[in-house]
Amino acid sequence: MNELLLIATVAGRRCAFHATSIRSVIELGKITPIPGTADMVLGLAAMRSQTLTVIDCARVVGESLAAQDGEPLPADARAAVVDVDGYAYALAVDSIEDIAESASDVSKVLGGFGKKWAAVAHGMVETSDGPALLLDIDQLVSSTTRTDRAA
Amino acid sequence: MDDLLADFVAETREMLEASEGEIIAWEADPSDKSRLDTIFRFVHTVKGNCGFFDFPRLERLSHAAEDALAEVRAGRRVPDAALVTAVLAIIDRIGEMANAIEQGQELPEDGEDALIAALEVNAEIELNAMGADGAVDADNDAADPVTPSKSANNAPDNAPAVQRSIRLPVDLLDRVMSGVSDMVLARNDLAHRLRQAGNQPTIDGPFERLTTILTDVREAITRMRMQRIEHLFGAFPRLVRDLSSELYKQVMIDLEGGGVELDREMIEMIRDPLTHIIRNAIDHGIETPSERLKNGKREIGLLSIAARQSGNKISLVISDDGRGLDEAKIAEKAVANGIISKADCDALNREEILQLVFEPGLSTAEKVSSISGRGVGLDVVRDNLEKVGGSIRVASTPGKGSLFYLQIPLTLSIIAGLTIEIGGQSFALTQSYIEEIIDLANGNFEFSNAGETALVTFRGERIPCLSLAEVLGVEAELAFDKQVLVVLRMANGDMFALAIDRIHSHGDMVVKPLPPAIMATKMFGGTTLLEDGSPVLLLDIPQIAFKMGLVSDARSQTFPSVDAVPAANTSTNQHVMMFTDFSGRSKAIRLELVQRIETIQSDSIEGDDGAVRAVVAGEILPIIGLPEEGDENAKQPSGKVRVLRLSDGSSELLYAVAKVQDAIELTGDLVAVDDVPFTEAMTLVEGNSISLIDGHAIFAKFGSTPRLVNTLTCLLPDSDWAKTMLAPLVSSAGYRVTHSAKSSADIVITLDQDAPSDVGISSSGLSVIQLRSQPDTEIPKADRPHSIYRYDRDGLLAALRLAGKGEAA
Repeated sequence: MNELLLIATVAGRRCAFHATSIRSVIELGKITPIPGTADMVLGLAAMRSQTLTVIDCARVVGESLAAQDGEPLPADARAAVVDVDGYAYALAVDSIEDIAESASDVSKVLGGFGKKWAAVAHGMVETSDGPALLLDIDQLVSSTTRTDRAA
Repeated sequence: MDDLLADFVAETREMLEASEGEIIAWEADPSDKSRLDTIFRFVHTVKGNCGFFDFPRLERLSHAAEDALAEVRAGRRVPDAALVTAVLAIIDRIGEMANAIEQGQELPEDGEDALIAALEVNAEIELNAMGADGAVDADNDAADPVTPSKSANNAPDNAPAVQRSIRLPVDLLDRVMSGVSDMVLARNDLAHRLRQAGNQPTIDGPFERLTTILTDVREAITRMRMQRIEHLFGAFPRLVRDLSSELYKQVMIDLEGGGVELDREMIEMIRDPLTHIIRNAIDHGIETPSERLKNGKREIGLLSIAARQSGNKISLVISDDGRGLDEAKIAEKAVANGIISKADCDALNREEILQLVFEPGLSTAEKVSSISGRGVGLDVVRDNLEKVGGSIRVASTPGKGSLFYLQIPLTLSIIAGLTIEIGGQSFALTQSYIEEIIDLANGNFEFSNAGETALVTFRGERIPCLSLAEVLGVEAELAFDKQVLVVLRMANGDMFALAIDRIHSHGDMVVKPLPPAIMATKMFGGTTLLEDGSPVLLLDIPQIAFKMGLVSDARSQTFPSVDAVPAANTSTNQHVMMFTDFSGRSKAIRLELVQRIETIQSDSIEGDDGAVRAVVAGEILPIIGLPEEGDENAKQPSGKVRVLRLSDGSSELLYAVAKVQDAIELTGDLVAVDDVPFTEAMTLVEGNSISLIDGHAIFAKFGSTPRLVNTLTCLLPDSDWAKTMLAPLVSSAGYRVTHSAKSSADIVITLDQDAPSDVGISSSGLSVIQLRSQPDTEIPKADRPHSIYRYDRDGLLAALRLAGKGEAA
């Protein structure tokens, strides 16, 4: 309850991150692609002389809306910068709405959120503007290596 | 001071400081067991170190204190105030001696006997004389046997400024270091932005200064943590010598890559594992001389250790040319010791079975020797390496030897790298791997295919050629024959070529580790930022080679066998560099002379006939091979000119060529020619006759004169003419110049002196050269030989040479 959330759109759905885990929100500029990685890893971006690994959240959940294959990201594509295990990542999302306060505890929904969504979500939270799916940053990031192993 | 000694002193002092509190607490309560233990450990450590460093007096003191404390610990003696005082006096004395050692002084004179005597049980009477409770009050009592403690307290104050060292937690150093690397990156970013904003003198000045400071700081910081691996290697020749003589074997050690720098802490971490592998190699790997001879090998076994830095990893290869690992025996042992089931074992391939040597409880040695073979070993080695994030792998060819391949991480490092481009994207390469760069558009190279593998012939060897585009799964921009080949040499000596689109630049790179998702590609070792702030990935060459199956198990190439080296030298085949000159003729020059191939701008070539010079990399060098002016057949160079930079070891010159072809081995006979200038011989290359440039002749004629090692000094007149005209001429002829009559000189040059004396050697052994202002035509013929007209350059130089010879004789 009353936690600060960063509300974003991922693959057209309303999602939320714990605002405290977000270092900053940036506009993605040029991304250096990395050959041989899972396609959810878009590449490397630089932020204030720091290297960020850019992860396309939409692809993690099995959709590809933030960037179509081969197409560049929209010029104003945004990403949330997070630190996981000492590495900095940029989580690319469709858009970032606002900071909101949670109005409920994290809860499960009957029937689940769909397999891929469930793997990276804590659960659903209510905000003043409606419900949002609270995403688990650690899971989002670690899913990039998991898929790799399976492949 | 010796590093080890400095460490010893630092450690002693540190322990002393740490135990000071304990000592005082122990004094207050002598029965406190844990305090006693701390102090006991201190004297014990000091004793151990002293034995190692050969400080007998220090050792005797600490040994006496240890004995007394051991008695107390064993309960045979009750600690009383007298004992406490005596022990404290000894500890003070140790501190004092450590200071003396640090300053390189003699250990302060005696008093030790008294100190040791004070420890004795019956020393009480003597000690009682000093005070009621035997508290350490020595400073007030000059007659006391423990007085040396007085000077001990004062010693540090009087200490002259020697280089002091402090110990810091590694965490702190890490933080400072990563802070500085971030600063370098931020600076690069700022530099980029400043360039975009254009020239701003008010900002550029301070920025330059910032850059200089940052470079200094970065260097200092790097040195703080880094140590050359030489420090570790230094101990190995001795270890190998001792072990081999103990085992009646002959082993030669070959160390390479001592300049690789490694975190000090990491060096300590790998010391034991490396020592262990070396022991193993000598004990089990290398056979006895007789056995080696029987197997057709040289009696002397070879053990080679090579270190390479690659990205944020150091690879170490330890290879021997011994009997190799016995796969069957390892499998049998592993099954017998229950490490693996028979069925599982059968399913493994040779490579996997070999890795079983790192399992606990496996030793293939039939006999347990004092050196190794107790089955505790390689598992510990692997554990220790894995603990620091490293890895170890073994490869072996039966009868040929084995190879241990270690990788140790560097959490953060600054390396020299090269940025390259493939498919429109930049990547970085560690410079230390690069053997040579070949521009395919600029010469014909022999390519062949063996199955699916492309091979390129490089210096007479066929090496596999990888297309980086294929490795990375991207599309190359250029056709293969327009690409650039980078020839890479792995730590074990294997070579392969990597085809890329183009080379960008080289420079220092701050390499940062990559997150696991990218590491999983097994192609990249780290990431770094270019000056324009865009990130590039550092190619992990060993991983790529391993992934493409280019790492050979046979260690035959790790270093050429000793027999092969002299054979290669006596071989009549000579390597030459083929090129096309400006008249379109193919010529060759011995490869040893060619230092580098450079490209220069044609407008950097200046001078008139006979003395043409060109500027290359900030140096002015003579240049030859240019087409003669007015030569109709020759193509005049314009724009960029390719030049071969030749060196005879001391002087250098440039040879301009129209096109560089290839480095080849001469197989045909050399037919000497006398009539063609600067041509040593003619030979046949693939049916065409090629003239071989006479290196000796061109250096004799064009090479800039190397400076005489033993330079002669010329005393010149103290006039303006001598300073402005004569001095440059004389010094360019290779003589040192002085104008002061007081300094000693070998040759004296005078101008218009009234008393004419002969040119040449005067009676004192000093050569005197007379100059005059009148030209030869204006003075009587008889006077001419006595002096030289001051603008007669050749005459003067000849006289100087003559004088110089007289001096040398």
